[in-house]
Amino acid sequence: MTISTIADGLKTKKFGKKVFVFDTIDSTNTCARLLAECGTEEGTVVYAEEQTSGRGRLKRKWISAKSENLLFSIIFAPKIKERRYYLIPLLVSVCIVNSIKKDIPDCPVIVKWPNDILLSGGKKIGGILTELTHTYDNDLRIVVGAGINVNQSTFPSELNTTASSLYIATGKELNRITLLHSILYEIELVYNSVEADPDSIVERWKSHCTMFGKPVQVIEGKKVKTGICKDIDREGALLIEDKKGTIHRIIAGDVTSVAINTT
Amino acid sequence: MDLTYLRKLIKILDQSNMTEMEIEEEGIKLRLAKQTNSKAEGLHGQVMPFYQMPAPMPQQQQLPAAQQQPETPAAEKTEEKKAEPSVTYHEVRSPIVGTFYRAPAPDADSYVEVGQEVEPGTVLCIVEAMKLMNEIECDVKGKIVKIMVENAQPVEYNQTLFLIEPTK
Repeated sequence: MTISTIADGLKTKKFGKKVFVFDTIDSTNTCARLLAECGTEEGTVVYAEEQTSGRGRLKRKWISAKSENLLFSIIFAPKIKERRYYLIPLLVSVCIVNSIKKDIPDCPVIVKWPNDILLSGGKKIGGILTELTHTYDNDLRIVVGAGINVNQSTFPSELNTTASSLYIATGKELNRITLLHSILYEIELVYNSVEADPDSIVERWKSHCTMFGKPVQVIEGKKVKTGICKDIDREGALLIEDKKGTIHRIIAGDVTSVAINTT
Repeated sequence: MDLTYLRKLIKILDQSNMTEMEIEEEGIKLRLAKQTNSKAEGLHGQVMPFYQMPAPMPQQQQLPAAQQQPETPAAEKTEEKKAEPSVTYHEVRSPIVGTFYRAPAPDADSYVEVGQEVEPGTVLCIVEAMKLMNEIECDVKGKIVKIMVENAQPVEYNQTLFLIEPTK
């Protein structure tokens, strides 16, 4: 993979126009964060064929076979209000789902709060890690790293029940760069409208979510909350209703025991 | 491509596990590579001074005083006055509503402990909201006196997270 492989055919004006390509890297997010802190411009993409220390939230490992999937991080310099920064990872997950569906219209891909990408059976095919940082002169930057299982055909046994790929779901091998171009184009399109209409991100996200009305369990630090998933609010927080009818606003935690069904 | 930018790219290469990187920008192609193994320790040694660069945030806070220095001889008095409030503890507060984590991972060591000396730029904790991980950095030089929140507990906007005794 070279820079020109990614640059050729890219239709964006900003996202991916500056790209750092690595055969192997520890973590695209770590690199993108350093670049962001150095003041590298918005839209810069760090791409890798393999990560030696791929990570998710709280340094959970992200395992991905070399040169079979998409691993990239994007630098954002959002101008939206602080309380709506959280919409950026939602935006990226929606754009990934949209792009996959453009490529494979019948692919049963959905989002799980706040930014996991799953197949309708519940297996994960994509994850997002979002980190907030600042440039050396204290300008806010948000770095969103994405891992999407595209053409990986097998997973280690410990991941077999929880992980899958687009190839396993559809039997089709996808052109990863075409998908990356599509994702970057979609992100640019939606991101350009986010300042004027941030609510549209929430609505787009909801249209790809099948959690609503279903029982969920949220592990938030040491607390466990259970209830029916009702909605997400304008800032992206999850709203669940417990047995007493009280609505809880969830801003952090792992959503588990989700009965997901595309019907 | 200016020298500062190039230096930062070298820093990125030094700090990562990668051995080479290729960049194309404004018609300039650049390929950076490093030797591994035996030189690794030496590289780390070089990285250390660079790593103090992220300190500019607190420097900005000190800027008004620094700007006054060349203009007025009262600058020394300003410093004396500053010494008084430093007796009180400096509070590091949460910039967002979220969940407070003392370590980068559940099985990892805490970023900081009570009694530890900290510098501007030292990462103190993470506050997470909507899976957006927000590393909270120290903005003063001093010693941690108290950690006000338990690990994995929710925190409110502007809630005090750490008390720090600034170095006089």
